[in-house]
Amino acid sequence: MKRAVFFFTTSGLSVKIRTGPVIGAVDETSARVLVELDVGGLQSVTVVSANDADDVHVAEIKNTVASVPSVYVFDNLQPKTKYKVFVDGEIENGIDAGFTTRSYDQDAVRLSAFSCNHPQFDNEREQSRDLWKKMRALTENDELDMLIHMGDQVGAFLSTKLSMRFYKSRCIRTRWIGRRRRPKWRKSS
Amino acid sequence: MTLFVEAYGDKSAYTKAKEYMDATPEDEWSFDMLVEDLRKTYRETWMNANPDTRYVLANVPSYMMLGDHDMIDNISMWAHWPSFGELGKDFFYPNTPGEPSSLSFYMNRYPTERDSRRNIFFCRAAYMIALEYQYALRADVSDLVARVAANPRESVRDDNVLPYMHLEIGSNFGFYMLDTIVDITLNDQRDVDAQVCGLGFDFVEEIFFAGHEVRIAPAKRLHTDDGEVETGGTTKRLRVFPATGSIAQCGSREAPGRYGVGLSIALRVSWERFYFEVLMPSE
Repeated sequence: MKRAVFFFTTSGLSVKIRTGPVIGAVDETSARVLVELDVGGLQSVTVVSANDADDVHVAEIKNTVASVPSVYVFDNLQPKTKYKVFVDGEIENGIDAGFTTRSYDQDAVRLSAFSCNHPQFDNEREQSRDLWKKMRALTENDELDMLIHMGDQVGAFLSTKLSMRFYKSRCIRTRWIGRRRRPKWRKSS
Repeated sequence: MTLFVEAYGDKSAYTKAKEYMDATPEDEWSFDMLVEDLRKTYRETWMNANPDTRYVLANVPSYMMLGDHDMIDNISMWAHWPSFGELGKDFFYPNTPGEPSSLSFYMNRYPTERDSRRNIFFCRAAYMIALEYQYALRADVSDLVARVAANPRESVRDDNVLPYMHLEIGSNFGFYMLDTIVDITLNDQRDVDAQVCGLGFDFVEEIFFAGHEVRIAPAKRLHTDDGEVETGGTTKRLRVFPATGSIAQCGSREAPGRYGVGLSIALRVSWERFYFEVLMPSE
């Protein structure tokens, strides 16, 4: 396995992820991954095919800035392939991350569309309290192809409540979109 | 990003920044400090508040559009809008001072009377952060970020914001931000040839209250608070899904005589659902 070459400039110091990895746009052969670390310098992120250990891609940024997000771009990926994402280095708070590239013959997309991701709101809305738990379950079962964030991706209230444990968001729905399951539309006159 | 709303007793980012800048000589304002404050909200929301959120974001591709608070954060701006008068002010956030929208700031389209150096400074920070965390997920925005960071005090007109009103995920579908322009453009007289994203009012009524496939080209032009602007959108056919029941239920009929407001209320309740339902087939 051609695992990532180890790039890092912090001389063995452990590094904390401040945000991410957040998977951005993914198409058939490319992907974008956002990571924010608490140190700057040379940094790389590696993606490895879950099915082919030789299918390894490394994206490197030489001058990342501490506590500023960077986006790592991967090209020449294989379509319809599941990739694991690794933030290279001695990462203190890593997480299992990955994505699946789209297929050229894909005729349906499973998505979740939601808004108002405000952890500050705590228990205000019971119905949405478990949104992320449900979405995690969908994700773990490979039942979710993309997330559509339709506003209030964060709420900049800068509250002291930010550290509160609970969260709130509002899920509009998760549904299929594709030729197979499209209902017959009534055409306008 | 919600910048201006006072939510649940918390200070808005704007209020906090305003207090800071009012108490600090202008030449000592710290752009970095404002930016860092805003970054904290992303870290907390996406990373620390809930491990499930972090996991989902780390394993499913995210696509982000401008939200309603980017467009009309200033819900109480209705109080300043002649045809809405006090209704909007009282109905929504009576204690929130009206402020122009974030989008207006992003694009340098804010009303002249609010063209303060303080507002520009703050909103340039907010715009930069939105680029860094949200739009960088879709495209390379490093040049834009650098430009904003280099000119935090300058109201550089930026039409690059417009593409974030629509989202083309693949060759055959995407989403189109439609509703919030309604607030700005719909008049309370329904016989006025009001335009929503360049579409006629009849079109809006049709899709909200019926739900059809609509063979019509989406707008290439938008009406904003200072006139029409090009969206850069391509002409495609809109297919509108029929699941608009909740919109119809709280539609204009609840606000007789105030059609524009009524429709706006309806959209405020369900706008996300609305444009989730709108697809753009390429055929």
